[in-house]
Amino acid sequence: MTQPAHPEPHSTQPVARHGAASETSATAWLRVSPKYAWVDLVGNLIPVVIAGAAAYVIPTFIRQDVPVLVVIALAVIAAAFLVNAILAFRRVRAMGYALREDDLVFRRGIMFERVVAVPYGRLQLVDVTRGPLLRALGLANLKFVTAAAATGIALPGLVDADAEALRDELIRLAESRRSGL
Amino acid sequence: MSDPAIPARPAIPSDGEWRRLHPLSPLLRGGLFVLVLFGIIVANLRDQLISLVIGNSSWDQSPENGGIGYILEHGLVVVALLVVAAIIALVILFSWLSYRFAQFRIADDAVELRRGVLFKQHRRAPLDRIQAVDLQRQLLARVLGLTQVEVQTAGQGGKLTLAYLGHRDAQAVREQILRLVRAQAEGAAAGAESAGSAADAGRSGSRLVDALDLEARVTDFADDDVDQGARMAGTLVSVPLGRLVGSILLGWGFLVAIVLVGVVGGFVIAGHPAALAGLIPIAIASVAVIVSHFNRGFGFTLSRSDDAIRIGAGLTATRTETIPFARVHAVDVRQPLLWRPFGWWQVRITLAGNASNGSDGQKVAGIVLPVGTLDDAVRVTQTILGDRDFFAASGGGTEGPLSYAVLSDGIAGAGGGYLGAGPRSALVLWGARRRTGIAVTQPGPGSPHTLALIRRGVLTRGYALVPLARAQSVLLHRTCFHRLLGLARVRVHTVFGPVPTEVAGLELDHARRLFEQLAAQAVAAQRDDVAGAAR
Repeated sequence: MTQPAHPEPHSTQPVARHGAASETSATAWLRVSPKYAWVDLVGNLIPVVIAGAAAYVIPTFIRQDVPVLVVIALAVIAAAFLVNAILAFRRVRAMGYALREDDLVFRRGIMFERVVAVPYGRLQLVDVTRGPLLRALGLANLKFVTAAAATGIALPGLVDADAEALRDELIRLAESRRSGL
Repeated sequence: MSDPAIPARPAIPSDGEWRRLHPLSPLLRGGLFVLVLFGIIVANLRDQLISLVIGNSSWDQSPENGGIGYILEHGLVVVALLVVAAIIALVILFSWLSYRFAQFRIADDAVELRRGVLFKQHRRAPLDRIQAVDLQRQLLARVLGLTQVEVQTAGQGGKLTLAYLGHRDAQAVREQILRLVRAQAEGAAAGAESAGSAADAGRSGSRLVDALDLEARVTDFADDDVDQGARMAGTLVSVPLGRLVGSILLGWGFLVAIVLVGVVGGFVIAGHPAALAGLIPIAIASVAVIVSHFNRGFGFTLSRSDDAIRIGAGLTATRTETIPFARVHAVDVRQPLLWRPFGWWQVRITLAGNASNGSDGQKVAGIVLPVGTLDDAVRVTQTILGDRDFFAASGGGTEGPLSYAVLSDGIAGAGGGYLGAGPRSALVLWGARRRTGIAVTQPGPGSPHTLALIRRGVLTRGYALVPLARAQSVLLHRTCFHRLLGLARVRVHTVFGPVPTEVAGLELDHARRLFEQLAAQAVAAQRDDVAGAAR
């Protein structure tokens, strides 16, 4: 514990937390690619489209007397995903990771912040995956697996070359700091 | 060879010689099929038996007589008997074949098992991946003097099962494997001197006659597999029967069952007798839980060797586990509400490997003290996490981070020196706010680990100890209410297990500092751990 305390612990600005004022001020936060926000956006818009289609198709073609509750439920679901979709850019901006001397730190979340620190020696394997949408944008997901399932570090939307380089770097670091199980 | 009283059996060297399992093992494995077959026949004959006893001839009038009635009507008795005999013969043949094809060996670098007639399986457990060697004995196996050896490795389903060996063979095989593992870990010339000395595993092929030696069977049946040296040194924890029964009656499971019975009773009194049907699943579940608790705790013993603890328990089926200290990833001391007046505590551990995955009802794994006094709980904790035998040392553990005073204060006392919950945390923690706290201790006399100590709970009180050298990662998390109240949760991730390692309701500022501290100390502890292992 060498760093000073967070100067503004109740700040809600994710960008501020990534800046020099972060409690891990010695570390430089790296961001995932901003392009990943589009993937996030599409993923959240698909349910909105489905819910909208259902709201149109059910009363028009299937039955006229749709219960009000169903309509309200559909609207709520659609609204939730829509809000989530709008937040995609901020959410992706809030994701950051840092390669510190002995551990990897990953943070995400605007509202429900989550910070994980994993010693390199704990690495069991690194996964690099690409879905069709990610491939189209030249991105890749990188997953860092330890013996604890709850660790769950997944770096989404890294630029392809970065993901490969990061994977090799992580494996190299893990090899040099191996600590068994 | 036929006289078990003669101790000098040819020692089996660890030169990779292939060995067979005990010749009675196909009987035990195939025997189940025969039992099931027998059960089916009896179920079908039930109507006939009833009519025989009662004496009326209702069976030839009733159309729902099932297969047996059809067979009797059409004079196919001989055919049916032949079919049954053929099935039994097939079962025996296959059992025998699988026995003939199953071989294992203990080589210098691995334990290997080959089996399968059509579908060959060759399973190999490298010595440096072996986490523990357990002995398990079901009731039927105990009667026949057989024991199953389970070689545990890390990972899901990573288990090599030798079913079955003679009881003494099994013990000898376990000792041999453990010695080789130890020798390899120490970098010594593995197995060189360990081969001859006590490797007592006889060639099972010629041991059939042993099974007929009743005296030996009785001795083996009663053998609770406690290390004799440990018994002499008195380094044992055991659980008195009365306390075990009391702990089950006062545990949460029984309490919930009683409440449910009360609810059902209320419905019945209120004029809904149909609610009685709801009792059946409750009764079944309760009995299952109680029996499994009882079986896990009956005759429970814990002893310590140089690098492992050994626990054994069981009434009908016994099980002995040897847990190397390095495999313990967290320790939890807990006390359900109704145990409090009696001052009873339970100690559980999170283990590397698959052992705490409790689908196997007989597993003692995870629970290293079913119920004990505060003294017992403290001593077990000291034994598992300390670097010397607190048990044997008279008045041991008077100083250092694992001293009796520190531990008993943390487990049952006021908990001085812990970082407590934040000022507005009552909304998320409720009554647990007073007890919630976390502290980090540095290695000290008798305590080799950097430990995170976590106090929690109000109804069930708990105290978790996590060696940071085994932590997988550290998490700071702000969930919905925590976010609103300016609080945060901090968790030390361990491998999957029963020990909760989260502290909730910390003030955000404190949580961030704690997070950095835990992350830094985990790295430092792991570096020291590697350096220590290399020494």
